[in-house]
Amino acid sequence: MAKEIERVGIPVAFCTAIPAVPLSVGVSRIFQGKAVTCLLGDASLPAEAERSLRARLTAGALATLTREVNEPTLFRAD
Amino acid sequence: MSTFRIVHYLNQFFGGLGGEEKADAAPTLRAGPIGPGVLLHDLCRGQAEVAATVTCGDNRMAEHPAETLRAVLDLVREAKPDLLVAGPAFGSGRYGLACAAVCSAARQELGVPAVTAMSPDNPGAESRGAHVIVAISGPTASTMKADLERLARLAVKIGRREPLGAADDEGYLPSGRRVNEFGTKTGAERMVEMLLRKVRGEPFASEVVVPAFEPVPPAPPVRDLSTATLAVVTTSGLVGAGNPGGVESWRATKWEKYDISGLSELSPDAFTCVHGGYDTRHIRANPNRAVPLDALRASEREGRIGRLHDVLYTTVGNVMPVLRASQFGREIAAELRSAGVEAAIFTAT
Repeated sequence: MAKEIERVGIPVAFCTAIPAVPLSVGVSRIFQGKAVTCLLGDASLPAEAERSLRARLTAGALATLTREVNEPTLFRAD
Repeated sequence: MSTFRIVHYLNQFFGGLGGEEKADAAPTLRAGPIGPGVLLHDLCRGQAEVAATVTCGDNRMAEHPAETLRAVLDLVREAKPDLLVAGPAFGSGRYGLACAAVCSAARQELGVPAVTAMSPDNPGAESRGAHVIVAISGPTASTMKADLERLARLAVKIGRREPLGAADDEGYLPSGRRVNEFGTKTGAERMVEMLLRKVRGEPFASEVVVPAFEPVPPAPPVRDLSTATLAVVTTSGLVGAGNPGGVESWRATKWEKYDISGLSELSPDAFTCVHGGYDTRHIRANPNRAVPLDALRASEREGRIGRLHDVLYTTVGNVMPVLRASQFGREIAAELRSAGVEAAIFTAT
């Protein structure tokens, strides 16, 4: 699905806990999420800490959209 | 054992009617073998006979498929075949499509087994039904003899209802059917042997067909996020509470849109998760963990992104066939484009 969106010229920040899948399929901008069951969060954290984790992960995913890539590339939060 | 009857389908050219000027020739039935059918008949001698030949112009079949196929089938039925053989069509696209269509219809509507031959890149090879066996032929008639030998061998086996061996061994296109068999060596032994052959530079064949994914060039980056419109697309299985659209928990057949304008975050009262491929309790407790609307709204407020598109696109990615995923992607991409969306956050689980 993501590749078809890229095909029309819209860059996609692909957030996943299992980057091996989009890397093999050929998605361009891949962002490492936290876990399959909790992609952008951490249920073990207190609510406020989890919110700031999600803010950091989301900012990291957004940043990939401004990056020039030539091949499937995996990014992580700073 | 008595011989069985083959009815052979040919186009106007191989049926001896003429070239392109006869490409609109109506279907005709003639007794006995014609053209390549003569060799086919000889090759099957003692096992089968080419009892009759149906010929039809390629353009006629391409331009009036429904009525022409109906007329061809009537002639095939009249000839009382035990087996239908079509072609070889080699690399000819119209002929290949006709052979695939005639074989498929003979099988489905007349209950007659069918086999054809064409080159693997013939569009007819793509269009065939799973139940039609396609022998591999060369791209031109220069390999006619070898191609007919392969086709005749398969025709005799299929006509005698004998099981076929593996596609690579028998020379037909993989039909997608998997057959269990006992091996003498374990997977670990076979894998090590394959690895050693690879290291030694010897030929080896993988037992697993790795799908080839078509590369898509990366879209150019967004110049300035602070003025860009972003959309969120997810395959996490996030849907409205109660799953009003009935999105399936695996092999989903639909994608949905939700209006998120005016929402500052995704509430567990309004959204749930129906993905059948992982434990969804954390997402159901806080849907922002799958679609970070709370964080994206904060980014929007702080001016780090221009604005968030009003529509959230969602489906269940669990065991979704690649073809369907591509189709959903194309449909959503078209909506994003017409809405002026410049970038997308895609969350997949």
